[in-house]
Amino acid sequence: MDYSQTHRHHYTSKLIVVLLVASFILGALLLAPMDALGQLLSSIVILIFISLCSKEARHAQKYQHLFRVVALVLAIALSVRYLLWRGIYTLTYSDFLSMIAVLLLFGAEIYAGVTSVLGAIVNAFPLSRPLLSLEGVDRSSLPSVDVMIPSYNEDDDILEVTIRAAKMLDYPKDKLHIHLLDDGGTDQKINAENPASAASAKQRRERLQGLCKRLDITYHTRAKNEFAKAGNVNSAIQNTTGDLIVILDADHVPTADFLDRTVPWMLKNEKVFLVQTPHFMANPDPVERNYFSAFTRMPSENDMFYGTIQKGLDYWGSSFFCGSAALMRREHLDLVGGISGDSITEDAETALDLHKMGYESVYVDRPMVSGLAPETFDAFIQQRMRWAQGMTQILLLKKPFKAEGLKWYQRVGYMSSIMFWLFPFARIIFLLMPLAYLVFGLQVYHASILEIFAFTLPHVIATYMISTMLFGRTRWPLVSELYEILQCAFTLNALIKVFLKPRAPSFVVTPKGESLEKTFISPLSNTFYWLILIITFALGSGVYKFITEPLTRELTVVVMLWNIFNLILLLSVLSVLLERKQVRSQARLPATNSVVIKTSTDEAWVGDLVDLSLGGARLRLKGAGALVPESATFTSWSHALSKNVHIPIKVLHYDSSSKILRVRFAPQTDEQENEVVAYSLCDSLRWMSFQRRRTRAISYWFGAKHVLKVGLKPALLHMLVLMGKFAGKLGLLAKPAKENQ
Amino acid sequence: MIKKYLIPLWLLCMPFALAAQTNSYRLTDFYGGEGTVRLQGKSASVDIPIPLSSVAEVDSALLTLEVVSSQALIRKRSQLYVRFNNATIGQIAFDPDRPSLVSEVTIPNALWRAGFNSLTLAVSQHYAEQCVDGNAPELWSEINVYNSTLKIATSINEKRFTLDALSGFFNPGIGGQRNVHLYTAREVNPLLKQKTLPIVAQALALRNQYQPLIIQHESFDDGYVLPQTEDDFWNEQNIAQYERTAWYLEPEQEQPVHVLVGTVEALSPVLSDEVINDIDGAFLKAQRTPAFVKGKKIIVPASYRLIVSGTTQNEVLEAAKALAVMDDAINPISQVKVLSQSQMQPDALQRNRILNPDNHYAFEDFGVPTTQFRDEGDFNKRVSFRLPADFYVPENASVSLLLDFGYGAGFGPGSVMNVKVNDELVHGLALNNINGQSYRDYQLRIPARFFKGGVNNLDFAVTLRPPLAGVACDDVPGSHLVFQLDNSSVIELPSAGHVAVQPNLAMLSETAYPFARFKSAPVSSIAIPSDDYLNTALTLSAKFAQAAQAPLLNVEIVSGSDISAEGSVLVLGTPDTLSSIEQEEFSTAIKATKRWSYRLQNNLYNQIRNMTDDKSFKEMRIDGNTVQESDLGEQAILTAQAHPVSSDTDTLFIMAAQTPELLQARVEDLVSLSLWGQMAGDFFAWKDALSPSLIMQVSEKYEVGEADDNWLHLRLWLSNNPWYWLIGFIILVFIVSMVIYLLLKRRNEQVQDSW
Repeated sequence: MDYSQTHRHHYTSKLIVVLLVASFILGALLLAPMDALGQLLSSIVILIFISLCSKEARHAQKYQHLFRVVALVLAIALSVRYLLWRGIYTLTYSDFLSMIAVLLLFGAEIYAGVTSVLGAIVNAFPLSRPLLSLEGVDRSSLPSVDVMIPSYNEDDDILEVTIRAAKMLDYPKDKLHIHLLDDGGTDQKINAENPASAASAKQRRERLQGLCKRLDITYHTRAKNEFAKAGNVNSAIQNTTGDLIVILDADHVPTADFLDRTVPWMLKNEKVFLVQTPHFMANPDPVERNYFSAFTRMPSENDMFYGTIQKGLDYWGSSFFCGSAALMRREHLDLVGGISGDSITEDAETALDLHKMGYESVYVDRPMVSGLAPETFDAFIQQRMRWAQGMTQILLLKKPFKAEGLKWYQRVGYMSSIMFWLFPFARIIFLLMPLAYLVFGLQVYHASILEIFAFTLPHVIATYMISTMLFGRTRWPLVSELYEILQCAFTLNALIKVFLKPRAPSFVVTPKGESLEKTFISPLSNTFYWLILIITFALGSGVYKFITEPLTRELTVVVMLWNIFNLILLLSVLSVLLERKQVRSQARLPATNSVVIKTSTDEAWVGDLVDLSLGGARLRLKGAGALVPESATFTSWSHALSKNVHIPIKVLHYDSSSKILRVRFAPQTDEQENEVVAYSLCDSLRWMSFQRRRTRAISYWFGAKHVLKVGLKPALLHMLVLMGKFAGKLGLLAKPAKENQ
Repeated sequence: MIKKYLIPLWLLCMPFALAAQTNSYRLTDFYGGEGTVRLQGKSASVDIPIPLSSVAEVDSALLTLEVVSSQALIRKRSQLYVRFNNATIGQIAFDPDRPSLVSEVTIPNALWRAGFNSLTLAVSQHYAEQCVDGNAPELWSEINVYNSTLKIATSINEKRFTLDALSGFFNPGIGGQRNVHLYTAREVNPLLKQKTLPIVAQALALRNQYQPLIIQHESFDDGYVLPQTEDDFWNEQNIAQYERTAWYLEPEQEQPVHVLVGTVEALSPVLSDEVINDIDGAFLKAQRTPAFVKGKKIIVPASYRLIVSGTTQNEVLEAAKALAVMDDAINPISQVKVLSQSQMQPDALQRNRILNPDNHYAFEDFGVPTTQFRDEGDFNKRVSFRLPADFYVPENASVSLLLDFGYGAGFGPGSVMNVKVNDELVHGLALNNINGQSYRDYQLRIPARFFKGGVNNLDFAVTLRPPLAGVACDDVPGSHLVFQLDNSSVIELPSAGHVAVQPNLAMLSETAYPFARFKSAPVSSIAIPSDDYLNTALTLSAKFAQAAQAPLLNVEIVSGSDISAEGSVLVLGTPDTLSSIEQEEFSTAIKATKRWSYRLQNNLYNQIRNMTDDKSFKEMRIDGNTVQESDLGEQAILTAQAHPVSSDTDTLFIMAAQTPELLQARVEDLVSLSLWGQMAGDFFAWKDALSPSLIMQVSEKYEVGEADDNWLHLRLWLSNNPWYWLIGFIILVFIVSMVIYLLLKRRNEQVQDSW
């Protein structure tokens, strides 16, 4: 980009700022001095406009983006009007306690308003990049690539799959170097004071060294476990020389085309320091598994971030590093001393440092790495607490809102991503604030029912409409609320710690690949029981207040509705806390390839895959399959390897009515092992079609209905379990026979 | 000779004879509640206040009570006690065999006192000799206060006539004057008619408080004509005596006080030389005139006259204004010369009578004393205060009440205090601390929308119950029960704009808005096509002052039906005179041809409203009407609509009847206690003093605000015209969005160029 273009670019950006300010002023203008009825009228008209525009904006058409912008400007204006109205007219209080409650609630609302406005700006114009390939590029001129797989305590099996997939990356072999960075076998660990852990670390180092040798890759470890993952990678960077660096988490299996799709962006622009790709999760997280049991039908939590937000951030030149599944340029990393380590989210921090220096990032929206989501709610919370703490550390230590070198829009991008993680403060306030009114009688919301209809409801409805417009395909209604409620109680505590001591938190590796052999209630449930109890009590108080205080009945009804909404969400949360049994060790995903099952006697059956995992597959035969022998060969076309693979299988079960055959892969040779990995995990097309299948918009009412439907049943289950426990304590239930023996 | 000496003495006695009158009142005239009062329980009572003018002397008073009692009540132990000013004047036994009775009780003359007299009707009711359950449903009796009457004969006891007696003559109580004649010279000066007479009328009406005062204008000739008698009667002495009388009075005039208004020059034919010599500035004088009697025939009756005069018309006006604001009690003298006055701006006078927004007032500030309730029973304390008629607050504004109250020990179950604002229950508190409790600054935040422009009522309904004895047939007496509401309780009013919804006849009746305003007082007028309507105009002007509780110095009476002048105007007339007003724009038109918006021609709502007796008078969009040629018959019509030509948002009222005389009769009905409060909507038709024939809201309502507050003005304009603003806003949004879109697109292209 030449200077004049940069200049023009900057000029355009400044104009956009001016216009954004103008749209804020529109909000102020919307708070015209008018009776509440007039305001209600204007709200209704504006909501109709937003509804029409957002409907148009969801269809691919010429003016799609124009409609999107109109809807966003109108919604921002409504939100600005609401916050101004709240600030100017409704913050009245009669005593100190009310003042605190009023200001806390207003603070939470400002937070929610600011994050939704930042979100609207970030997602105004998601960038769609073309799919580039190395085809036609002189292979000898390609830069060399170091693939680094940092590991701390993951199982060998998980590592082996990742390493095998990395080795099958479609890239000149002489320019591709795979490194296993073992932090579980460092000198420090081996010499640990605890002899048991020292021995275990030593065994791990030996095992992994063996694995690396077997798979012909480089094993790295270091003296001390300093700076966690960032330190591990930096240590390896010093010992390697590749031009580009790929970082893959231990469980992140790349598809064969990963480098083919990402390296071209590095070649196109020398200033690009990062090419990030989505993390595709091959198994459901606890919410997806326990809540809807809808992993294959409902868009995942990741889909919203990688499918929408990163594209929006990419437009504003601020898509950031997500710790794995990314290609980075060594030359640029060297400028900032490798991966940054001030925070426990080293990834975003590194990107921020390089963005500040004027380097650019690219986001390629194609799932080319499949990983594992944390299985249990416990692990899930641990992961989220790390992200929340890390992002808050960046906010406090790096202050991106005033970081020199960042353009205004990059600041908006970073602040949008960081501010999101402060949600526990607001969410807890929204959960508990009805109590202040219903139980303690504090007047926290000084407005008449007409004003609530004129100002509050339109703001809430507009926010939902915009959320549906921006994220409708990748996030179902009320699911965000559910995720936030699940996390808020725990992350709030973690966040407060960061605010008190910004440098204190340390990196905790998210446990993955945990097994769930039986259904149980998460040990974190108690917090939610208490919350439900408190909110139910508030509901009771509300009913009493409604009967005894006729003057405030209108407000009481509104606050009770708000409280009931919270209660429904909390009851829905119970369903997530019921950890359901997971039978398969590997997650099985839908697949559609044609398959031939062949026996040693050259008998063959033709069929189509139904689903597939690393361990085996389910397929629907086209003819009767009752006679398929126990052992056979599975033949199908592998896109990753561009050839047919022949994998030995063991038949587990055949259902003659549905003609479904269940098989287990039984690779005998090293090559067959590779083929299984390549066939089941290295085809990015399959991930894409799977993602497309589940990213679909549903109506708000459908979402709300779903939440209600799935929310009540688990509440009963929880009650049964609790009653069982209680009865057990009282000795009313007979102990299991096993224990009696 | 003896006879000659006795004449002056006899003449002195004449006024009594003249002013003696006998009236019969229903008890509902003194009592705001329903027509039947039901008294339940072992003992119960009702107090009826009966006001008596300070100049009236009761000659006889007979109370007739119509009572129905439960047949379950036993004789001897069940009685109705009639007490007057706490003295028992009658005991009526309930007889189960004769449950319905009419009883007459004479009220001794000596018990009457000036001001409020308290008539207490108390019962003691038993259905058995012992062990009576006080809550038993059969313990009841009813007093039909509508049919029960007080027949009272009064006479004037005023020997001398000084200015402090004015509020005795013009008094809402029994014996007060209900109409008055204003006398001027035959040639009426325009200023006198336009400003002075209305103020005099208002000044007298204000003394009557809520009781209507009918004003009649009369004029006297430049000189008297001696009545025809035998030749030797009119000697010098008799002529001199005749000159001292109020010879201009109509013979049939019954009211004792009349008023002379005019400059000294204009009044000279009827004033004595001493009085004429006294007038050298704005002048007020209370004077008795003797009767002129010839033989046994009264040629000229004796009278009390009030002289409002001055050497110039402006001085007469000054005198009238002084009369309007004067506290009579501190003027026990017969004449006053007004030298100067300050704070006599119309808006200031009107503002002084209300609680001003953005202020706080202790109850004692507006004359509410500390109230104490004792003994068992249901009590109510009504705290009334006036807010500006155009009291306008944002939707979420609230009024704070910081109450100081307490109750003593030993309260039993069922003791409660309920607080109502304009009949809406807003708070309840159980008085359940057995040791009693005292509260200071007990805060109630009440949405300001519960309050309205005009008179607002706070009701503190307190029920005091003794504790339960816990033993059958034994009650704890409630004599120890005490509840006190202190006058240090405070009401805090939010800041408010000055905006009123017009047209609204209910607001006119309650506050006289828009003739009385509170932020400013633009000139408003009552337009009369000829002097035939002057009485009607003066009576209405007086009633407006009563509604506003302040003299309306800005209300003028103008001649003609010209409505081109600024300011709100009430046009009086007949269909013929009103034809000169262009009424094409109006929903209804009263001319030789009438345009009526009949209910069946319009939306369903109006019909339903009439059937369900809904008094909310919601807006009705008129789209159908009938034009007909007819006259108005016996009835009069009052309509209100936006002033068609005024540059400000003033209101035009039109009041019409078929003839000026009919109009005057109808206005006398209108200002009566029974009809005035029923005014509502913007179309009001009536033909008697009992109830209107039809009330409708036929014009679209609009908001009227004060012009000096631009922000408020904008708010009103936007509230009245949200569509213009909304369309502008949407266009602006599209422009901004379009520019943002183009810039975003441009940036997108630039990013793509770099690939």
